[in-house]
Amino acid sequence: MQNSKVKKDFKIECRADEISPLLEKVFSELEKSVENSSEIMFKLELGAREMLANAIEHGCALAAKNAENLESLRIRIGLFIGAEELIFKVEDPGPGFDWENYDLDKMPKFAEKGRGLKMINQVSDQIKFNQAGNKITACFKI
Amino acid sequence: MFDLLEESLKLLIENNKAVLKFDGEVIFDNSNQLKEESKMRLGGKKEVDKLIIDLSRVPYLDSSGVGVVLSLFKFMRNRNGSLSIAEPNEKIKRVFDVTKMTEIIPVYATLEEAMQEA
Repeated sequence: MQNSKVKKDFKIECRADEISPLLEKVFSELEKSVENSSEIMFKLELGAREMLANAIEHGCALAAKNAENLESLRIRIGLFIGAEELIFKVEDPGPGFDWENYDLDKMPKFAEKGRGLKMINQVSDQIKFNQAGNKITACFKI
Repeated sequence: MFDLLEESLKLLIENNKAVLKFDGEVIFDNSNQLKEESKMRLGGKKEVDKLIIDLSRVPYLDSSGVGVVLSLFKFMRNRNGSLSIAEPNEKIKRVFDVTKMTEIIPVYATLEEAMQEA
């Protein structure tokens, strides 16, 4: 059984300029909790930025069609840092997508889009989705 | 010849070589704009057949940024030209490794090297 070192929840608006301040808080927690954290920080930044980009670009965009205004929408983020793993969760306000039929492994060579989830899959040790596909959880071994 | 595009994008041309210098993050939020602006400016410079993207002032480039680079790669390939990248920081190098960009596009540590090899 893991000893829970850090468990934090965050909320951000559906805006790209919210990402860097959020990640600063996340990295601050990581640096306090994990020694020699540079490698996991690399991987986490790469994965987290793609998770948040997807949340804003797809989840928020779809949710905005039914919402009164984009400013009212929020993305929920969860951070857990245990003794052996770090878990990062992103839940967007959108309807989700068909993750069960999505190829997470094959990285496109010349396509200009469609790399985000594959990058998250590459840098993390495991990813999971909720049933709807509007919440993604990425696990990183420490 | 110096062609100022906007704060986040500068294009410098010397004979048939051009350096496209981005300033700031190249991410999902601005990638389409940067891509279209770059292509529009290069479109009028038919003599350019060697393009170097200078990333020295780019702190981060995400998967959409990779898409911009690939779009410009194809743009240059269509005019029988070439594309290379100069001065990515360590984070961006990791993005390139993960996306296997280095299998397609040469990456140089300095702009000088890129200019010599281009």
